[in-house]
Amino acid sequence: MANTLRLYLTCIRNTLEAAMCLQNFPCQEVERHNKPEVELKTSPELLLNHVLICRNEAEKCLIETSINSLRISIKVKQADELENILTKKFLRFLSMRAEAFQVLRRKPVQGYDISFLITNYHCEDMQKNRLIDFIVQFMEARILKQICMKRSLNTRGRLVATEFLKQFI
Amino acid sequence: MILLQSPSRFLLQVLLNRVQNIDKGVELDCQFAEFDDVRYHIQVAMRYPQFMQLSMSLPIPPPETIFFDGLPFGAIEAIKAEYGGVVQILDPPRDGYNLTMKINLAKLPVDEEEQYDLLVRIASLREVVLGAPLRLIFKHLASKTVAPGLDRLVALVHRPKESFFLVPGADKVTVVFPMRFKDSVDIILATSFLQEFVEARRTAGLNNAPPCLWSPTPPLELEGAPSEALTANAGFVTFVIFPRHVEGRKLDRAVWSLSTFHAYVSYHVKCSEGFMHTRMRRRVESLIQALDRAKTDTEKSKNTTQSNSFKRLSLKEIQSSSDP
Amino acid sequence: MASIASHKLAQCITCHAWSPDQTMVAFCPNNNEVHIYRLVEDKWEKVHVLQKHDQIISGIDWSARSNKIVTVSHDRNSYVWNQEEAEWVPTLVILRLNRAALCVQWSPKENKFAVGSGAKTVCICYYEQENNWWVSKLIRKRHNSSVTSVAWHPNNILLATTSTDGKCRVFSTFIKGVDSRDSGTSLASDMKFGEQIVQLDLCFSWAFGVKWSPSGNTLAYVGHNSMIYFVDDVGPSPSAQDVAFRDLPLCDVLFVSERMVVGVGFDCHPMVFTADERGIWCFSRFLNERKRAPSSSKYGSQFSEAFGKLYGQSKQGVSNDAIDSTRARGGVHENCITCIVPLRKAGDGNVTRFSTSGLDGKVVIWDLESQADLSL
Repeated sequence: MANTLRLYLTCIRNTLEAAMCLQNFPCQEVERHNKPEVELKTSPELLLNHVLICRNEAEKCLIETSINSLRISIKVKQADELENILTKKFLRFLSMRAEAFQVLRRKPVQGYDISFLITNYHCEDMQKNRLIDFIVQFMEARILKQICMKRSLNTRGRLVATEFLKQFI
Repeated sequence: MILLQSPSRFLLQVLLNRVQNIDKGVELDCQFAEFDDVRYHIQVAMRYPQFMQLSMSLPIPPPETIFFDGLPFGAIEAIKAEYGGVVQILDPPRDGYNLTMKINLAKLPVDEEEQYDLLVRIASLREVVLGAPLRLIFKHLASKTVAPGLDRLVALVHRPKESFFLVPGADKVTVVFPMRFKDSVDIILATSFLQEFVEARRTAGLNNAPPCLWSPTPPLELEGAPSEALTANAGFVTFVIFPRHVEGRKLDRAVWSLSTFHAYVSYHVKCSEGFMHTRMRRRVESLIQALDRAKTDTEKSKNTTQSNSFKRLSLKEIQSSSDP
Repeated sequence: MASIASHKLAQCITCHAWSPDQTMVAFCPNNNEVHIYRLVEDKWEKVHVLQKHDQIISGIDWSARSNKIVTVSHDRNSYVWNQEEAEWVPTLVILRLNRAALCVQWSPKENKFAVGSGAKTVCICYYEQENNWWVSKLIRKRHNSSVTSVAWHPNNILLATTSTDGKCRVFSTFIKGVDSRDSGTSLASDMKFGEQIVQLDLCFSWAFGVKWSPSGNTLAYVGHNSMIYFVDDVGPSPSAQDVAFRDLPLCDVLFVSERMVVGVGFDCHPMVFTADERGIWCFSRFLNERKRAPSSSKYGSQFSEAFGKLYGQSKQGVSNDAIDSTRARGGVHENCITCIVPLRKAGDGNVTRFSTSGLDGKVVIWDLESQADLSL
């Protein structure tokens, strides 16, 4: 389990390493504009083939690259309702702080739980490897924390139940 | 606090306050509400400081639950038995309330400890009134009989327009709670909590606790209940209470905890949500810091290089230092 | 180390250029200004700030003989700056562009300059004496995407371009009244303005950083697919070579001699490519590492002996993990290198010194003379 997670994250890291070669590139369609091409998708020649990395059917990562921007979309495993709401809640908290999270895309790409949008401007004022570290750390934390949070909720439920039933003994 | 406490803290506070300052003619008129739509009204007139009028409003019962004179069956008897001469029930009750009683503070026991005990019992009015039918049935169970004059299925109100159900028997009483929540997150958390009840019951230490079942569909015991009672978005919990669970001093606790079971689960669901939010907020903050680290470090290193940059090394220096 | 000086001049540098005597450097600190720094007693001092553009400046070139600075910007404009006494005076060049200008270069004779643009066009600008302004002639409808780089052939007529459509093209820029018929080679002088001499479709991704060799016989450009292309006999039947490397793609290249090219880009470490006697190009090594690169076998035998003792241990680690090897090299640049400029001595065809700048805000000067193994 932990081993496949490691492989999954290493694969994402290596792909990001290669994909995060972005440069300042002004818009070809609208004068005096500079927009992330991966979002506009108006000039097909400025887009690269996207890469889809799957750990299994429920967990995958889509990396779309263009000349000046890169989009990473992550789908997190949601085995049951509880994991589902944990994910949803967490993403809501994240999007509330989207300003602080410059690389967070407000709305995830369809079919994914969370998307990051990295532009050449982020690469200019952040260290590339640290930015990649952040994304990978984020994913790792997301997956591990979810398990941990679920466990602690279950523990709490057990305690509540035990205390209640003890009254009858 | 894990378990809910039966006496109302606020009511007890008011009572103690009044008793301590019984000579002061203070006018008091206050209302307060508790969980599951139980409301109180306290009134003390300046002229009669030794009398306190306490009114209580109960959640509106659904059609299947029968109230006698606006109260659950056995409530009047329970009040009389519990408080004796200190309390006088006024009929009719104050407008908008199910019960109004006059407490004669002058008649309280003189012994401080006894007095405090009685005040705590008055503050537990909710348990006395709403738990009255449950107490009656459990008392009979403890003596292995069935209370007379009961239907096969007894519905007891515990939330506005919601009941839980009892199937009384001589050797066991089955208690069924249809669990309903408004919020979708509450439903999911509650469902997982309720399943923990079943799991917890299976552990060795709780072998003697009441058997506990959870099912998403109504259990067979609810046959004959009105159709509205048979829908519950968080499933149905069934406890089977045996005489050993209600004997002696356990009776009070059994009555209280079963009549507030829904509130108990709901309270912990909300606590868990709060706990979850705190952790997530912290997590988000630490992630933001991780992202900032990607930036500040470059700035930091820039500052350090700034101080010794602009230094031009001569060619010779470089060659001599680089040649091994 | 081959770098002899590293100067942190800004947060982020998009491009830079040197004054003719190489005492001053002009660069754009990733905004709408050009800063000019002068070296005064071992210290760099800001002497001028050129403010006229209103968007990021994407290209700067400083002419060696006429001492003029040309700048282009995403704001679609270009200015030619003339030093008049202590001040730099701008002259607006009407580029007739409706998209951003991306790159600029003075022609060898400095009577023209070329601008590549996001409008998928190239502007050739020349000075009209009678009107006292710069006129722009456009090469239109030849590129299918933005023009990322332009390079002048030494003959002052041929211009090579690269584009994000992945192609490298060579055009004639012969302008009547500016160029004389006998100025170039016979091939070039027959051509009309804007005529395409060759279109090289070698790259599957975006093409950047085109340069001619000092003689103009060889053309080099890079692709975003981590490839560098060398083209000989530019004309009707060109011969091309491609060299793939395992590291991140390059952004710009520089011919230091007919047989040696330095490439810079996303890997943060300049790479050296060399041609052997037969003219076969290959990756030689990283500029700022002493040992040979693991992928190269060229200098293997001599160097592993000489440095085996010192680097034996780290070498094993290198062959195991490609990412670690990049870090172990300990680059001078900490972020993508976007620009490489020669520091030419007058009358010398070969370049021994050059400078690089990048998103880390550094201008680094390199000297090949200290690189014993890199014979020119």
